[in-house]
Amino acid sequence: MSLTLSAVLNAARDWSPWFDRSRIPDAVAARMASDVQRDLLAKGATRNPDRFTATFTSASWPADTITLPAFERVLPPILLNFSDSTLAPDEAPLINADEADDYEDGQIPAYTLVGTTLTFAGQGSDHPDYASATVNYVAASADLTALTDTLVLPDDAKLAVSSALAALFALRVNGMPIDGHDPKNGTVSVDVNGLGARAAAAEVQWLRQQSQQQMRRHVTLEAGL
Amino acid sequence: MSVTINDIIQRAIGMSVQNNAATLTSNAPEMITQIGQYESDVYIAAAKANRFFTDSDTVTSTSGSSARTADLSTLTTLERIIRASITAGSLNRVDVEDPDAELSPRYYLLGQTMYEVEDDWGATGTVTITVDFATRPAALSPTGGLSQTVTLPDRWCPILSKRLAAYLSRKDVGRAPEEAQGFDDAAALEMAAMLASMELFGGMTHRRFISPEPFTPGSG
Repeated sequence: MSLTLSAVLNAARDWSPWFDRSRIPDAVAARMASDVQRDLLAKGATRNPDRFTATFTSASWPADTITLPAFERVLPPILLNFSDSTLAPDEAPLINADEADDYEDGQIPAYTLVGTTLTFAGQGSDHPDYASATVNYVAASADLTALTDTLVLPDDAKLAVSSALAALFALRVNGMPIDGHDPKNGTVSVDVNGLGARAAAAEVQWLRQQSQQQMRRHVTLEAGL
Repeated sequence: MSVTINDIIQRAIGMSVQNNAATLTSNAPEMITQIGQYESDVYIAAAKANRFFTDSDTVTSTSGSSARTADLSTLTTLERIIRASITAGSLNRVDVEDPDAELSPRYYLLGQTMYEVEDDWGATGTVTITVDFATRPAALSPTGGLSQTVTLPDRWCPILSKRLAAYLSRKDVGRAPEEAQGFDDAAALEMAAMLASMELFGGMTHRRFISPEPFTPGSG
């Protein structure tokens, strides 16, 4: 993934000759891009979570509490890795915190998730064969604060991001004084609805692509998406 | 050809036989100050309209890790900053009351001093800032004599001599006001021609944007 903030801002500015930096400073555009990315990531991860999955593995065992990095969503089960790496990991489900009492005997390893902390229901030390726990999750996107920052969205999201930005740019500049000072000397007029419709179409197309990538997989069980 | 203050005065005198009265132009500091002001006006107009009169120089900031400053008054011919940059890239100018308007690295101006926003300029120490700027003419000394040369190229010096002719006409009480107005109009024509020439010089500029550049009212 090499989609940078600079690339999407350049592409978004190309949509209208009114989208210059004097009207839309880079910092303003970066904040908009951060919001657009969060929105598209949440929607994309719903349709195809595997594409945006990051992995976090605890350094050691017992891993009674695991503090995750900022995430969009956690993808259960939690994998419990054996000391013998030739063995397939056990799977620990993610349970609701109010059900933790039912798992405290440790017979069925499980985790609760409160905030960003995963907590083992029971005592990890009761399971000495494990060496670590692995968590798959969709990472939350951080704010974009430099033109060289890389988006977490893949390259194929460029049109969806840039057209969404262009639609936001349109809302910002529409009606601005052309000379940057006095509306009596004319105001900027851009096709807000047209750019909005184009952004919506690009988003639908990209999300459809994510769904199709998920649907083409061979699975033995319903994915439950 | 370098044009002197005296050249400008002689050309202005030549525009009306009534300018031959020696008392009209005998006060050298007065003549130098007037011509210096006209020349400054020309460069201000050019700085607003194009990037013809430009220069580049460096300033060094104070030392520290944040809130460093750089004194721009040392750049004596700086009329308008076009771009300021450090090794990390171009500095973004923001207003002191709205630093979040742009991404790092940023600065704001108070007077002729450039102020770092937070610790945007990088590692601790002094920072060399390269400033590309539209220029003003070199200052003329009111007591420096009539042999001082103006900065403006000779082809556009008629602007100065025509404005001086208008000044002399108004100074000489009793002349028809239409005469001074005629010189003013002629100077304005020359100024418009100069700005057009500067714009034409570079050929067509390919622009992505319809922006208030190069001068944004209220931006400063």
